[in-house]
Amino acid sequence: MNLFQRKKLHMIGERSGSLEQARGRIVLMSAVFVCAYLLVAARSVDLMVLQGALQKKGEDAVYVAPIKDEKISRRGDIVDRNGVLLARSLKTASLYADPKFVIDPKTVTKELTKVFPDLQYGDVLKKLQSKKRFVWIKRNLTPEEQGEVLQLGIPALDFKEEDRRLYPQGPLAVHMVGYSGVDGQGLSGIEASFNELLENDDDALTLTIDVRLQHALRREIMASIEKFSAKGGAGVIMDVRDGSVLAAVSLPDFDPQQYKSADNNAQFNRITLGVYELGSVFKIFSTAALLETTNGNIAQVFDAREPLKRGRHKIRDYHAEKRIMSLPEVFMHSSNIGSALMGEQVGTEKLKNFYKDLGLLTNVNFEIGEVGRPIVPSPWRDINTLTACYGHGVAVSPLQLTSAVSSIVNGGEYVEPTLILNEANSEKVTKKSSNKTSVRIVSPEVSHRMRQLLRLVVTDGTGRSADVEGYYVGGKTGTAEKPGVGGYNRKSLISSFVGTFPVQEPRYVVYVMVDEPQGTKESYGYATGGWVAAPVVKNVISSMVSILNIPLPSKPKNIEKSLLRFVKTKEQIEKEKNIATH
Amino acid sequence: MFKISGLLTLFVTFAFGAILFWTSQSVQDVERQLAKKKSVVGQEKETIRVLSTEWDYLNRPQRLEKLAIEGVGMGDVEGDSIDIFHDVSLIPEPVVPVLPSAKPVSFSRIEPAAQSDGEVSVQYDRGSFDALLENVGENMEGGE
Repeated sequence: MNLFQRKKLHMIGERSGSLEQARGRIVLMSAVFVCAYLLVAARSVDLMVLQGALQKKGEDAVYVAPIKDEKISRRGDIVDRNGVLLARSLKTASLYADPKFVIDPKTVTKELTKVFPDLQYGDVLKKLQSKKRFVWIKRNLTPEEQGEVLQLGIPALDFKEEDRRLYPQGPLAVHMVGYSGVDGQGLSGIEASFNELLENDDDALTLTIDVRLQHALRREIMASIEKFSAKGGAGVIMDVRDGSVLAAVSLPDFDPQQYKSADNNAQFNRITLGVYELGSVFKIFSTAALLETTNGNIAQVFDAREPLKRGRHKIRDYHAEKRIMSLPEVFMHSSNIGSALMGEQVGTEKLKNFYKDLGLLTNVNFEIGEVGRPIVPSPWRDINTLTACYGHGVAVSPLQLTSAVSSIVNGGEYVEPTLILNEANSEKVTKKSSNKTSVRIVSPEVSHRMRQLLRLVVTDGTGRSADVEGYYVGGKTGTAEKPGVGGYNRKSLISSFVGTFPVQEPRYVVYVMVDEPQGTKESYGYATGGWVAAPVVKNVISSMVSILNIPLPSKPKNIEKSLLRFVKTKEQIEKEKNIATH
Repeated sequence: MFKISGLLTLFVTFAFGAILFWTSQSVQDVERQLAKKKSVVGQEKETIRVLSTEWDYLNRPQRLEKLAIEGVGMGDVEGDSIDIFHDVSLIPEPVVPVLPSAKPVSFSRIEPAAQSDGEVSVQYDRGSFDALLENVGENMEGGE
C-alpha cells in the first residue's frame, strides 16, 4: 500500500465546497510565488546577462554617486571691470587622518614628511598619536601631492574635498581684493568686507578695477621706488564722473596666497589706511576755497617777498620767488606763503567747512574696511588754517585726496570713491548705486578756473615732466616733509603728483605718491614731487591712452593761455629786480 | 475549478505588475543615466573653472608684457612714444607710386593661350587691370 498515494476523497455536501475552495487558494498562492520567482529570475538575467553585456560593450562599469539637488555652496568670484578673475575658489583635496587606524605612527609620519617637507615631524607625530578620530594633516593639496599620498597606500589617510581660494593676478591688486584664510573666511579687503555676500551669492562680484591699468600704475610706481631708493609708494586712478577706482596700488605688496609670510610693511594699505600730510597738492583745495569765496576772482596778488611770520611760526617757500605774486603764480610756483595768505583770506571756519565738504576731515566712505581716520588739528587754531592750505597739519589718505581732487575738477560735484561696479551687488550691501552726489563743492566756473591753474602748473610750473603731448594733462606737485621726533624731517619726504586729463573736460585723475625718495644724480639731488612723481604720472597716462584707446581731445584748446597775462615772464621779473636794486 | 473571471483577474494583475516593474526599472535606468550625465556636466564645469582660472593666470598683464618684450621686442609705452601732428600740413601727402612701363610680372605669367582652348585671351595693349580682369572673366565664362 502506497502511503503517499493521493487519496481520493469524495465528499459531498457542505464540506465538499470548502475543500475545493482551499485547493483553489493553495494553487493561487503557489502561482503567485512561482510568478514572483520568475520575475526575480528574469531580473537576474536582465542584470547579469543583458545589462552586463551592454556595459561590457560600451559603458564604463563605474559607480555613479547620486547627485543631490542641494545647491553647492561656493564662495563667489571677484572679477575686474572686464571680467578678468581676481579671486576664485576651486575644489582641492585636503588630507586628514584617523589616528585609530594608524598602526605605526612613526613610519607614517616619516612617509608624510617625505611627501611634505614643510610639515614638522614632531607636529605630525603628535597628531597621529592623539586619541581623536579626525586630524588634519595638510589642507588644499595639489593633484601631484594627492597622487603621492595615494601611492603611499596608508589606510588611515583620507581626503576631504575643500575649496581653495586662488588669486590668479597674484599681488597685483592685493590691497583692494584682500585675501581669505584657509577656511574661506575673508580676512582683508573686499574679501573681508563682502564676506557674507561672497559666501551666499554665486554671482561674481565685479570691481571697478581694470587689471591693465592696475599693472601700468604698479609698474611705474615700482620703477620710481627703485630709481629713488624709496621706502614705498601708492597710487590711484579714478574716474572723476562717478568716483570709480580704476586702479589702486600700495607698495610694497605681497602675494595673497602667501599672506602669512608677508611682513607688516607689505600688508599695510597705504591707499586707504595710511594717512599722510600730503603737502602742496592741498593747494588745489585752498585755492579753490579762495576762488569760491571771492567769486572766482583770479586777479589777486600775494606778498611772498619775506617768510610769513605768525606768532612763533614762520612759513617759508621751498623755491622762494621773493616777490609779489599773482594767484596763478602762487599756484604754479607752489608758494607756501601765498597759499597761507589765501587761507587767511578765506578764514578758519570757511576753510574747515570746505575741507569737511570735500570729505577730508572724516573717514572716507569706502567699500573696504581698512580705512584710516584723518588726523585733524584739535583744537584747530588759526595757524592750522595757514599750514592746512599747503598740506601740513592735516593728514589724509591718498584715496581721500584723489576723490577730493576729482570733486573739484569734474565740474564741482562731490564724488565718493567706489570699488564696486555692479549696481545690483551694491544694492545688496545697502550701498547706494550712484556715487556722484548732489553736493556741490565749487561752482562750474571755479572748477574751470582750477583746471586752468592745473594746466598752468604742467605747462609753466613745477609739473612740466607730467605732460603728455596732445592729451592736455593738468596737475599739481606735492612735496611734504614727514613729521619726526622734534618737528619735521627735511630729508624724509612724501613726494606726490596729482594729474588730471584731458584738462578741458577731465575724465581721469591719477595720483602717485612716493614715500621717502632719495635724490639721485639725475635729479640733481632733488626728491620733490616734480622730479619723482610727475614723470610717473606721465608714463601712467601714456599707458592709459594706449590701453583704453583714448582719442585725442576733440576740441584741443590751451585753456591756460588766458591765465598767462597774470604770470610774469623771466625778463619781466629780472627787469623788476633791477629797478628795485637801483 | 477557477472561474474565468478569476483567471482573467490574475492575468491582468500580473500584466500590470510586469508593466509596473518594467516602468520602475526604466525610470531607475533613466535616473542612473541622468546622474551620470549630471556628474559629467559637473566635472566639465569644474574643468572649465580650472581652465578659465589658468587662462587668466597666464594672461596676467605683467606676463604678457614680459613676453611682448622678450618675444616681440616691444617696449613700454612712454610719454615720448606718442607723437602728435598739431598741424595737418605737416602730415606728408600719400605717396602715389609711378607705374613702371614694363609689364608686371604677374601679367607676363598669363601666357596667351591657344585660341582653340578658348579659356583665356589676354590683350596686352589694354591699359587697366580692371579691364584685364573683365576680359579674363568673360573668357572664362564663355570657355568650355
